[in-house]
Amino acid sequence: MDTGRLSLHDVPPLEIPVSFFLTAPLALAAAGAIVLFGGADVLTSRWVPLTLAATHLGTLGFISMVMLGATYQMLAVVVGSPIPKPRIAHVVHFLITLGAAGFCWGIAKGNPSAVFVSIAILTFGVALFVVPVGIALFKAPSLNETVFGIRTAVGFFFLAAVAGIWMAHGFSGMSFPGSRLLWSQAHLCIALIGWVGGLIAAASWQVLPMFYLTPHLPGSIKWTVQILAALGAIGPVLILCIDYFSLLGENPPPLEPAVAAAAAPGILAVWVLHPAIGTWSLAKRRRKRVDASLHFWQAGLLMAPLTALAALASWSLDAPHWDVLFGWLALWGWVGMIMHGMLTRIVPFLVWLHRFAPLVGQMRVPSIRKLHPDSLTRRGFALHLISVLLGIGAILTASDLLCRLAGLSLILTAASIGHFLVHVLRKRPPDQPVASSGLDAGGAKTSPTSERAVPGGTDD
Amino acid sequence: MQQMQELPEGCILEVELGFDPSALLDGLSERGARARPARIARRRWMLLIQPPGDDELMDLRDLEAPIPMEQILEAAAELPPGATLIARTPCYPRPLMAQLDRRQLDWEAAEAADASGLIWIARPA
Repeated sequence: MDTGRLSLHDVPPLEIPVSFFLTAPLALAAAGAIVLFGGADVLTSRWVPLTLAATHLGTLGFISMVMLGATYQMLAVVVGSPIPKPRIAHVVHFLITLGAAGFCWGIAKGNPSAVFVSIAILTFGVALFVVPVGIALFKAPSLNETVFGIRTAVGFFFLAAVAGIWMAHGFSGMSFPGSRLLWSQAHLCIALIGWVGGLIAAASWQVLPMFYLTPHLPGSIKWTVQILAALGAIGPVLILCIDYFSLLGENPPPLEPAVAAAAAPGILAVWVLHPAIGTWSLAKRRRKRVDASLHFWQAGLLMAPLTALAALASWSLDAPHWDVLFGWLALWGWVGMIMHGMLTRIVPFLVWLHRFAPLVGQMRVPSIRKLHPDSLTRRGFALHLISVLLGIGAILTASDLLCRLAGLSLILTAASIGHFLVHVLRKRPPDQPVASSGLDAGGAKTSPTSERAVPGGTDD
Repeated sequence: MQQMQELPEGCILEVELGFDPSALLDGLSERGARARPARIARRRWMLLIQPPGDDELMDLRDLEAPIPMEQILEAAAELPPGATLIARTPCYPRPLMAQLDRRQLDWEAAEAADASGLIWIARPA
């Protein structure tokens, strides 16, 4: 039995997650612009500076931005453990945004000073996120698979950031901490499996039953996925330690294959087991009505095993475009789809929770469906899917035209996400102050003559 | 049966069983109790038992978020002083709690063995 109580003051204000969510499409549009103007060069090798810049706009600017915002909200609403000093989140948002923008600009332009300053900014941003969130997580009222998943994900976010910042010194006029291939492989495994995969799985145990009425899964299945994901990310961390401290002597064997082997349990968990379980759950959902946001989950989960195959190709074949294909499928096919889908479901829920739920019983409030037309979500899904397919085509054929079209479709998808968010966030009750102070003492329903209908909320 | 008879008014008894409780349902029904069985694992069942005379449980498990919250808040707004309601939700209803506090309602929530939520709400007399 979970008895964690949550007071009204413990729920972070809406502007905290929303500030992160609104920044994500801007970063995505910037990544799209790099692909659009860079052309085929950007999607041919992972080591091209513009490719690295576009990749980190995707990982730091889009994916992590959504995940950081969601983590702040999940801690209160799902875990039931409020974050101390939640307003620090605004500083985190500012630092991560500034640091990510500067870092990507510095890499793209080959400017070591910009990279150096940016990684210093990012370091403070990461620390200011991890410390309060870590405190909240360790004060969680219960330890279930979701809490464990979020704890490990945040831990691996920290480790991925440390490895990334350390490696970034190589772009700021200093040296890389070790073999660039080894460190980038390990950084990628920690981030994709431990941080992203772990958090997606942990969130899905709550989000899928809550929004799609999927069956609750046995704890043993959920724990298996979370533990395998954690093992798959901790292995690469240990190998980096072995490499850095020369624990195998002066002339160690190549450790790159060991990273792949150590990551295998995590790959199995996040790109095979979790997608299979998630797809099965969605097929068994009690509410059969199809919601456009459901397609994002289905497509994202379908992309996961393809990502695993691309990872295998990238690891075993020499041609550099397999690396890029793996990155594209992982970041934009798998994670991007799920993040985009989460935004289309969670942001309307948060707006309804913060602005309309306090008025229920006092006046007619719009249903959550009135806050966001399904057509906007379907349009976003179509654009996202087209961009994924164009990118795959561009990478496999090295076609300059397809690359530029993929870049353009990324920008259009970002615009669609931005439009969706602004549309939903503009929905307000006609008289907002009632929400915070206008309820009678018991929150009892007011007389019919004072009822006001809010058929679809109103735009500002 | 003894535990059911000792239940205070407005409470629900949750029992986890290692056998199919279908055979118990007729006996409970004869005593006026409402029982809701649910299979939660291969050889585990859960039985929610409401004693005779209590109001019908609001079963909102087949509604996606935030519809259960909306319906509970609407029902809670209609509660006269001293009255209670019990609802069953698809998940542990954490987001609802701050809203109940805002309305100065008493509440207790629990996660049932099948991971659905149970919430008891009362308007202070």
